[in-house]
Amino acid sequence: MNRPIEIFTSDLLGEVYYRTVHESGLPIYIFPKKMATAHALFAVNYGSVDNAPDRKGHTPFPDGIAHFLEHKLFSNEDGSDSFERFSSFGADANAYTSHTRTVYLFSATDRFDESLAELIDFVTHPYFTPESVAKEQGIIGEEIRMCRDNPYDRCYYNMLEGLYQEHPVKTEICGSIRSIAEITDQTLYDCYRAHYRPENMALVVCGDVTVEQILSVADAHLPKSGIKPVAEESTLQEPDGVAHSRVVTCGQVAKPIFSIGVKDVNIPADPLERARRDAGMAILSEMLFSESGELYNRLFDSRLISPEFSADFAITKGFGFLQISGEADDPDAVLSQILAYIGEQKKNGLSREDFERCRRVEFAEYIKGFDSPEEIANTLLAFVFDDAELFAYADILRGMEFSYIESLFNEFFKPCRFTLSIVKPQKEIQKEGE
Amino acid sequence: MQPTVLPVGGATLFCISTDRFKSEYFSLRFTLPLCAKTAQQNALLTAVLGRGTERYPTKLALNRHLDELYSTAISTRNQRIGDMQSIGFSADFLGARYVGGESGLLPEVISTIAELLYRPAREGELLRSDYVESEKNNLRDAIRASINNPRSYALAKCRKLLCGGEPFALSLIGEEETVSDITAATMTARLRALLRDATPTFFYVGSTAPTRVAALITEYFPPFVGTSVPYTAIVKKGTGAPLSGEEEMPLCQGKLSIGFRTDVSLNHRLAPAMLMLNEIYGGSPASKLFLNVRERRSLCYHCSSSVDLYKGVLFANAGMTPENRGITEEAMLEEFAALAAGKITDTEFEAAQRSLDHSYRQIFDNPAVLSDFYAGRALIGNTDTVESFRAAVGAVTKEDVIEAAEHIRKGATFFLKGTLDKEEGEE
Repeated sequence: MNRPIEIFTSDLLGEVYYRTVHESGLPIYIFPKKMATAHALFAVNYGSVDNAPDRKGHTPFPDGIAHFLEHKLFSNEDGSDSFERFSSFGADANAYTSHTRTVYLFSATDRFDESLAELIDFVTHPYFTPESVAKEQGIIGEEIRMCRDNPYDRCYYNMLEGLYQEHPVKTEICGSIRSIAEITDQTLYDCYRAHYRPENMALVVCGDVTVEQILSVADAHLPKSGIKPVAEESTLQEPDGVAHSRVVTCGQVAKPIFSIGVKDVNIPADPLERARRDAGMAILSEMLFSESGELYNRLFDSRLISPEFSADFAITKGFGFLQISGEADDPDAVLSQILAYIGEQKKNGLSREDFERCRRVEFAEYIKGFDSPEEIANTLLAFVFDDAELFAYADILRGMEFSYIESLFNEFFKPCRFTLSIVKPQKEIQKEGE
Repeated sequence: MQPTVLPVGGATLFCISTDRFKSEYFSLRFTLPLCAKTAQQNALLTAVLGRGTERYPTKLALNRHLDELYSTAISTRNQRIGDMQSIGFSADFLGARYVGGESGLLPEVISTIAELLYRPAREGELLRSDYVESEKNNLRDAIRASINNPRSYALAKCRKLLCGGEPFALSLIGEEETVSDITAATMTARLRALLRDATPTFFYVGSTAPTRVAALITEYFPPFVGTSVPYTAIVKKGTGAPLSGEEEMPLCQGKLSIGFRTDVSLNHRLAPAMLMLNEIYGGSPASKLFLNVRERRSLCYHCSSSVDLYKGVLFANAGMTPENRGITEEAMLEEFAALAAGKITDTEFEAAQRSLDHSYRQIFDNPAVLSDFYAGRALIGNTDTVESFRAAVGAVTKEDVIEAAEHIRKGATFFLKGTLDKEEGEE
């Protein structure tokens, strides 16, 4: 079948990938790479945040439904489980749900085409029954309890609850035991039909494959056309300020752990500008918070923090935040030091030398990311769903100007956008209550 | 992709020459007896050495140097291998084609790792006492933080029950009580003893020719005069009644860990069959534990097993509502009994064989895993290649798996009981 195929090349990386659109409306991305393992992702641009309440405050589906659907799609009408089918081909299958997407995936070193056919088949053929839904409620209930026992998950979600007043990013991806109890086979079908539309999905493959090979399997297994209901745009408005500047809970930790969130309130609508902001924040975070920075070494030398300390920026069309995490006896003192350091930098100005060093670091990390088919496929997917182009990121880093980083720094760090989430050891909470 | 093995200054270098990766990998490891007296000091030593060198005396200066080397990452290693401890450093760095020069960043990476060991930051003849004290504090925190991850906490407790009195049961970072006795003098003596008594193994994956890599090591490292410490591991099938332990923590879930012992080591003819046994039991999403205990009986979210044939141990782990502990444990043991009785369908068997084959083929995409495969086997005098081992796994029969099951026996169970009631967990 003749169809337009776009080709994207990178001289820097010596890599090329291809994009085409299947007649069903599904975009397909193929990144040939001579490695032992090939990785395929079949993804839906639908995650836990795509369940914003309408004007009357009703959420379209119970919280946690995107994740529930992800679990349930592996069950087939003939009673088989797709995990078993993948295993019969020697492939390693899995799936995950994030705030913004649901991804079904496998890696294979043999019989790739059969696994790809299975991936397409099971994702495009939902089959739910009341009995299988009830069974899954038990399994996901245990997953929710496992997450509750994870202090790092608690710290992260509490940070989001502190940062956001309205945005559904603050809702846990798995939902709660109460919310998943409301899920039925019918709600799963409704949700599936609303979001699992080919033009709202993407197939991404990276490995020792050819374009013809992938398209041949796709043509044989994809439906000819997709269901195309009108997607409702969310009218949600998230205020600039945070919901809570400090959220404290107790958990099974030896020493307090913390996550400091800084809310991004200036998310560019233009994808290229958003990618530039992402790259700029990556460089800025490296300059301010990395182990090669003054602040980290100051905090570490004065024993305010344990060695593990990290800062990560996340940005999508709908939300963005910086998360600074670590372990400290006194997380409030860490936050004070961070704010004081930002104040000093604002007064004295950022260092151009630091900027050049950190840009070099980001550039090297970008190149190193092209050694793993799994990493390539996942990064490519993230760019696709954010309407950005993977190889253009290198040009963004190359063209990054110091003045842009300076303006980003001055605009981003406002004290009213900070939230401090702390998980304290049980005994400390008891002491405070005495 | 076979490694070229070269002697280098009394040590051994494994080299995989390839230009398929954009980054390169270089590691150095010492394998030492795992004993209570030195394990903690060895762990602390790598952390203290990582604080700085004569040329880059602070963490800040060292990290900035690594940044200048295009974000080279040097990590410390501290692992159990049989009843031994493997410590060292590994570096992941951008390949020569992106940075220029005949061998790219490799000379500077080798030089930096050599400096960490031979020219660390000192005061007088000793390692810096402020770095030792600071790392002692970090080590105490790390020991206490074992409760932060209930799953690995339960597994560690099960390991201690299963191999009590043997080196394998020891913590790789030691116990809190012994940290305060350590001084800069202790650490300096430990470093001297390490360089005097042990010989490292080097591993390199990248585009530089093996002879050039060997020449660079000879240029930056002094000759190694120590003898290789003989590898030891007590590998035996358990005898006597299985041990059990239980603790409580304020958690929503219970974490169960069941430990088995086997006399089948990696050098045993049944080693491929024992790996197949684990794969069928709980090693993949097509395993008995995943499909029957999780999917069909809906008892857990997490239920799997893993095997270590350097030591001859297998652990099956699960997380469940505490009141379901009994029924889950029973279900997990029923699956094991079914396997041992030969109740293995063709589908289960073939899926396990393909899954293992996939795992071994994947090794070629990951330099660190490739290095573990070859350096680990060299240590125990095993000459398998990835390809020959894949072939051996492919030749395993159901009868072999049933025979392997006769060589394995449950030895311990540990349950970490969550004490939060359901409502608290659901809030």
